Amino acid sequence: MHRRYCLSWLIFLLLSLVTGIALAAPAANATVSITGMRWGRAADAVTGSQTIRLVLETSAPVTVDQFITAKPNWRIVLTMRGVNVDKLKITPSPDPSVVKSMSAVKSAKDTVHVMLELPAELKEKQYKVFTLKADPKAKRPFRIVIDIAKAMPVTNVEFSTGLRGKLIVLDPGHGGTDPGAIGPRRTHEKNLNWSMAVKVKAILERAGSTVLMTRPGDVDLTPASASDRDDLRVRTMVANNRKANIFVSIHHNASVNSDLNGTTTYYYPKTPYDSVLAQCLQTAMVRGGGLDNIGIRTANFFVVKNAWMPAALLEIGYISNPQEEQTLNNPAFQQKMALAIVAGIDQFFAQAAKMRGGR
Amino acid sequence: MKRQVIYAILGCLFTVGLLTGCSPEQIGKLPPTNNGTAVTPQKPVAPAKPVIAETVPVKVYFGTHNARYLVAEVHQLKPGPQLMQQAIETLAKGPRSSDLVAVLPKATKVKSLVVRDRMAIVDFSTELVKRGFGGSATEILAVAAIVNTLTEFPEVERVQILVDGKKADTLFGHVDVYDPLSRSPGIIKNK
Repeated sequence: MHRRYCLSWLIFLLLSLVTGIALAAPAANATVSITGMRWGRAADAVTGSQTIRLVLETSAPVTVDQFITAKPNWRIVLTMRGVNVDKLKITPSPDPSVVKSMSAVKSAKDTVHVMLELPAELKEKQYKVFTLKADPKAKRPFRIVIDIAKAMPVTNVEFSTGLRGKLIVLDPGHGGTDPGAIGPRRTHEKNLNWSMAVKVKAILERAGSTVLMTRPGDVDLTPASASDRDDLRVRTMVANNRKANIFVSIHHNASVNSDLNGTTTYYYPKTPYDSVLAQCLQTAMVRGGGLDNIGIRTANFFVVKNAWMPAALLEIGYISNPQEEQTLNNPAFQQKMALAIVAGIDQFFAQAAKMRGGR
Repeated sequence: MKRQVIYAILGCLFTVGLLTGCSPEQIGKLPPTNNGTAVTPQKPVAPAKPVIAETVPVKVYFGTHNARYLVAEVHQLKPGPQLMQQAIETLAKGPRSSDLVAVLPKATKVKSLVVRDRMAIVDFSTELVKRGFGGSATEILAVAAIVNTLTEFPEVERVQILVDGKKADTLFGHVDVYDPLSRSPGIIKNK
């Protein structure tokens, strides 16, 4: 009697243990869900470089393996284990020139491959994959983030050597009601930009180039009610409509720190030629003008970005620096610098001719 | 036999109770056990008073003397819905440290600041685009300082700059600020 009681007690104990394990099992093996996704666009505030961002929201932290492959087509593949995508609603890419499409497929049990189809080759440096922790304060879940850089479009533009027969747009910065920066001796940047542009134009024309100026003199290009953007758009329109070979914007720099000095050249890397043009001009200006070399930099500048042809924006020197302000106002210095700029343009055509579209 | 079954069922229920972590009270009239697995009733805890911090640290970006980089300076600001606006106003006021320089005209005012869809839309007074304030070096720093200061807040991913309620084209004639901009990590110099 007693033994039988013990036996049934044991059986039930065992049974309940099994039940307990069975109950606990789904919890231990629970899959993480990708609960949502969104696309985003980013443009770096300084360089203007554009990125498409894909954010996958997950219910818990996930480990992601990723690789990029060229076969059968260029694609990024993310692999995650213990992940469930049943609830994921895939939305189309906002920019097919960066990512054509996205798909998520299950292979083995609970293994998911997220695939991003790319329109062209992508280098290792041009994308990155990382995870972010949940941030309850900002009401954000755990996330997997994929950032993909928008690549330069392939260009079929080719150049020949020499200045003869070239169409060059010179853009003297500011003008009219916009003085640009103002130096300690009240030098208006717009006037220096104009003096330099006129000198460069004369030398280029003697060498056989056709030169277009974006403004005819010290005037506003748009009515006072219009915005600066309209003014800048008119400047790039001149170059775009006439299919100029290159666009060179002439400026002078300024800073709250009056000690700063030197020459710098800005560009926007929209074609493989833009950085070459900037470097040729910078090297020639530093050699010919003799001011300190601050180097070339990429920048989200309106005119160099929106001119369709290779473009550079020169900051010849700092008018906020009293000594440099004096140098920049000197006609002999201006002539030396104008010759240097033309030498830089000539050098650009020589180098660009060898690039054959940057291929 | 009848009694055995009852004991067995009770035993089973009790075991399930232990395994699933229920308190004994929930599964009938079984006596509390002394093996330490029973749940002890929690003492009522007085609800914690919400602690309102007087100030919170906020990173605001200023220029370096060579006009090439931004450096974060931590300012103590009052928390609340105006926090981001205060951060931008601090940006206009200028840095505490003499190692750094202001990148916005001092008279710049923020007319409004809202966050929509992870984008901060900040509307500045026209003092921001005061003619003759800066060259391209200053403009790059000004735009980047506005964007980097606002994207320090986790709810902000992009920034749309407006001047007097309208999309601005450029601030001082160089940088394209017409479209929303995102953080620029490259211009930040870590001390």
